[in-house]
Amino acid sequence: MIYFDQVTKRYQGGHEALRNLSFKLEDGQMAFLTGHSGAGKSTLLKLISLIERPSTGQIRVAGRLLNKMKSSHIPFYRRRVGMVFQDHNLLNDRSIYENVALPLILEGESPKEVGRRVRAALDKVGLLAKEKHKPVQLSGGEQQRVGIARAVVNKPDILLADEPTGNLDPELSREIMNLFAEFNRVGTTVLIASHDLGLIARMPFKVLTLRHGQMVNSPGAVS
Amino acid sequence: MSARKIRQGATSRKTSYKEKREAWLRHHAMVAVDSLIQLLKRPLSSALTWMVIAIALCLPSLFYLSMLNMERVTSGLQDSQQISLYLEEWVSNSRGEELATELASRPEISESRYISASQGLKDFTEFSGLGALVEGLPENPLPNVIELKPNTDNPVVIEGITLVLKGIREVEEVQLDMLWVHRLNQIGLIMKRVAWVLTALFALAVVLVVGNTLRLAIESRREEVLVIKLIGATNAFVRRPFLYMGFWYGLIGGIAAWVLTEVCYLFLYDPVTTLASSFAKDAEFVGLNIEGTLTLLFGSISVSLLGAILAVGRHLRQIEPR
Ligand SMILES: Nc1ncnc2c1ncn2[C@@H]1O[C@H](COP(=O)(O)OP(=O)(O)OP(=O)(O)O)[C@@H](O)[C@H]1O
Ligand SMILES: [Mg+2]
Repeated sequence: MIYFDQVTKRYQGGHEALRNLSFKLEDGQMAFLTGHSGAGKSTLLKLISLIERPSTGQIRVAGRLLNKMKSSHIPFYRRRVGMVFQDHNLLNDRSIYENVALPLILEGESPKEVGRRVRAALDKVGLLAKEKHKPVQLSGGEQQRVGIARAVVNKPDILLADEPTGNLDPELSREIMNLFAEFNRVGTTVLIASHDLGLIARMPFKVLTLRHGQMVNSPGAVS
Repeated sequence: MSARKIRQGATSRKTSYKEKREAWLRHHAMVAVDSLIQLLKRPLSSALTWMVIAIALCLPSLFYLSMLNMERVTSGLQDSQQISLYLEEWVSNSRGEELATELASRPEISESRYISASQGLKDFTEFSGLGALVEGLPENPLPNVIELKPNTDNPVVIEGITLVLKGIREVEEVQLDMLWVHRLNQIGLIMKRVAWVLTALFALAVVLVVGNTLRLAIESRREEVLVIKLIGATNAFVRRPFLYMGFWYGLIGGIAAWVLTEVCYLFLYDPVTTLASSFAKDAEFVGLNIEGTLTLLFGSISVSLLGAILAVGRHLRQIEPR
């Protein structure tokens, strides 16, 4: 469960990216996060992944209160939260296989288990044949899918994605969104920030809309 | 399949302590090899760092070698501390021998030996091999001498004995051979101090060089550090490859320092051995033994690791995802 209670995020310099924001996302739910550019979508996701801390208010994720989490606990928390970034954030000098294996190596899995799970994840995103390639040898969409494979390879409780279809063609965007829906079907809580209103409208998920850092009740939102 | 079931499946798969430890060791081995490969991928800059470490550590170890050898030579000389009495010109050989026997019976003297001027010249000819030169002398320049060995090596007591001996009518001059040995020892002590200061300074240089090299390495891998922190790497995990780099700089730099020291040693062997054997018979210039070699390697690794720890502690903290 993701639970925001009266959360305000004020950046250095005084700009309020989020103002008195409250919302709830149940376990196993999937939702889209939309809003104009600068509305605070990325900020919201950064608060969940503890890249930023809220200025006021409480955030609770999977039963854990994030406000007071010690920095030494953050790595272990982040392993339970898969993240997909618009700019992929892959390691360019490592192969696709090694990139996807990283979360498992952090957990200290055996090479056998790593191999099994990395291949399962790559198979899921349709890139099993390219495991030995380097990220630069892949198209933007393929790199995005490697990022997704890495985010889900250790079966996180929550999956966050910031504009995962940012500059992909409509066909590929739909494919990737379907991939997220598939992970959601097996129980992962999914939250996707996206501009792509047309695509979102065609999918049967909750939509959270931000405007100037505040939540707007939008059609389809369950509050 | 329900959501709850999946999540339980994911978290209830327990890894045993043994498995964890194996994974940990495996990870260390992997990181160690990987960081060495990283260094070898930039052969020029790595080799430069290794050379700097080698030179910085070669100098103190050469200094250590010279001290070691000096100590060996002077400790041999300490046994032969003696007092030489130069007798007045008018003292006859028989009176000289008499005096030597007399002195030997004193409690503070353990041994005495009378060396006549002609005997002394003969000894000198033999010892120096300068026979031709000696033959050319119009007359024997050497006095008759009595050599005494005192019963003690306490310098204050010996000083007292010297004063007493000066009072003897037949004695023209008393020379304490120990004095220059003593001075040599003092020089040795000063050299030891200098060696410590030098070692500390050069060790500091290695800390700074490795620290700076690693600062650059961290800076060049900034993106990577950010990414792995984002997907849940602990600080220990992020630090590890850089600490292993520090280790490799130290180990290989230490080996290079050893090679350089050995090369210098071989280069200096002949002249130093010649010089040393003029002080003590069979003296030899000894090189680094196993203990010294291990100290050099261990020191090199420790100092490089220290540089790495400082750099990593300082610069990794500043790289946080934003
Ligand atoms: N690190 C920061 N320091 C100061 N202000 C920031 C920082 N990050 C974001 N902001 C500001 O906070 C507001 C919200 O930014 P955010 O990135 O969350 O928007 P967004 O909804 O993701 O927009 P976009 O669709 O363009 O990605 C913006 O006005 C932005 O200028
Ligand atoms: Mg954004």
